[in-house]
Amino acid sequence: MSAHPKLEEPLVEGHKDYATVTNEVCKPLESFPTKLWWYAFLTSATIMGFGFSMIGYMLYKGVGMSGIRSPVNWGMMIITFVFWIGIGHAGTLISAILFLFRQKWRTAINRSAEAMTIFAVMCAGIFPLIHTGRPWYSFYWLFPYPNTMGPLWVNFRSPLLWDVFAVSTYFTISAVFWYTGLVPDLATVRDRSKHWLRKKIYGILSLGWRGSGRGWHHYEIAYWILAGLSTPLVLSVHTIVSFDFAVSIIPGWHTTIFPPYFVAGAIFSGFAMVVTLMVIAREVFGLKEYITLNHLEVMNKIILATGMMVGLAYATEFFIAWYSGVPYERFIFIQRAMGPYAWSYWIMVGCNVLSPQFFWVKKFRRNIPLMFVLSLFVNVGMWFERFVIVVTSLANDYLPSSWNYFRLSPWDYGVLLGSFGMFFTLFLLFCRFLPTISMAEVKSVMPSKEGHHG
Amino acid sequence: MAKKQICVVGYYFSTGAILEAARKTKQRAFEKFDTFTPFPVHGMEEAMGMKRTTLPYVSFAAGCMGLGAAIGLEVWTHAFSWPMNIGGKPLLAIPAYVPIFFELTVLLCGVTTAVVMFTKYLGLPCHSKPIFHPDITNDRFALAIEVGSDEEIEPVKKFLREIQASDIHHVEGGL
Repeated sequence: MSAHPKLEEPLVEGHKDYATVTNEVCKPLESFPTKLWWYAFLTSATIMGFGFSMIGYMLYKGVGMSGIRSPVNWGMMIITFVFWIGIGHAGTLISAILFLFRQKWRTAINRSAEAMTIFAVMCAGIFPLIHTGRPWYSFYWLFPYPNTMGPLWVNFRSPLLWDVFAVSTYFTISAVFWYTGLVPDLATVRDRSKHWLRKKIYGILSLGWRGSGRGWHHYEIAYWILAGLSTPLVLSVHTIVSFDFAVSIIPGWHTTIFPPYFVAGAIFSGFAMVVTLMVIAREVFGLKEYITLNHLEVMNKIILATGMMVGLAYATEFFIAWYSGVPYERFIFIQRAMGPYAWSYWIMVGCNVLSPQFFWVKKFRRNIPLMFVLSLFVNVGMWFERFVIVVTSLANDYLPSSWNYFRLSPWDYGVLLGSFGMFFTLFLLFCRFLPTISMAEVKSVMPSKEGHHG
Repeated sequence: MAKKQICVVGYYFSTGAILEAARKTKQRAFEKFDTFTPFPVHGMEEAMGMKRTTLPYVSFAAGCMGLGAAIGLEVWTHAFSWPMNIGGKPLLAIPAYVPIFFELTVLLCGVTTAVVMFTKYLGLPCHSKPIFHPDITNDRFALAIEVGSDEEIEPVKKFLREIQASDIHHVEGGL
């Protein structure tokens, strides 16, 4: 009998045993995909195809097809790049940081969240490549390969290059972490496979894993090390992305608040995307007893907390701009709220600061349609935050004679939409071929049959 | 003459039971034994008498190599190979080099840890070792003891019956 007055709520509802967990999680992989999956997949694949053809056409005709004009020389591409990288951060936070804090509830969502990270980073990675206009040269321009042209080297002192290393490292380590966690579950799928080809493919992917106790020991330590590495990595990646702006001299960009502000914003937008995906996935795949209302409630609390941090950052920027007395800095913040881009600024504030406030009320935190709508608002708001940062500061910087109004071109919209199509296509494929919940980890936090033995 | 390898396997259905069985097997001084579980069981390292893994030292060494590689790359390219004055910044701009120092350290450490863990410590990929029961990755816990000859099978099976294993059988192949 527990002496603690509050009964600990079960992490997995429904008094399941281990075999039930395996059956329920593996069911979407083993049955032919439903009509719903096909509709969703064909829709997102079409959008992805449309986006890619837009990219192809833009590369053929020239990057001027996008709305980028002087003085706004960075447009949709960098906005969407930062947006997708930010979304990826929630996945690593859930897998790595919550693991280090021993938050057992992460086990139901960490596999999907890490998958989301990898797909988000893949979507983000397209933009630096295509924004060069000649992506086939991107490798030569971005990576320090040995050459005889001097030898010519990339500029290691530039945040644009720190980005290259940071995003590549982030993608690689996230993929390695994800795959390492997948191996035992792939072995489970292998052992359940009836068809010889399925058994062979999952067999190769699971490396012949047998669940050996000695193996688990080394495996767990490796998992701890990867989690411990991923934690500073996720903080550093978005910090480095924020340096793209912070090391410049543009008013509204050159502030030291950017690293923590961007990281908090990334976690904020990432969790909103996780909520969006989990609300859909638990419904479609019947995983409500694993991804429970408690899980969603905790995620909404995190959304509220990080949303407040982002709101605080907005207020701090504004205050420091006034306090500094620098006329350009003061001007840019007033211009953001009341100038030609005021519409985007107030969308941003409404979506990021106001909409999460609903989550103070427990009833709203546990209301599925409301949290789904609010998570979409937060995603929209966070895209607009990057829009506001990039576009307003460039459009109205030091010399009024250089000012101009920037509009996204139809090709910008097409490519932006295409990136969402790619993200959802990849996620739907993941749901079809891989177990969306980490079975081994969920089983390890479920109570054992005869109660907990030390 | 090739050394014979035979695994004698018994099954359990809860974490408490497999921990107890592992303890008893260790007490009986069987050296070549292992447990097979669908998830890592808390307390198994003590029960089996496992020594702590040396993987963290490998990770640390890999991290140092990553840092060394990053320092070498940035310092050599910018201070020796083709020094250039970029925006008045010093040739050895250490604060500017730090982000890439960090990233390459993490990259080499992480990738090496995962690769070495699977290949050297777990011996994977390996598709030739026997899978004792398909439910080991589902809800069954197994204890396997390796013996070197047919004569040793029966005494080990007797021991497994003593420690209440179910579905005891033996199979050719190593642990």
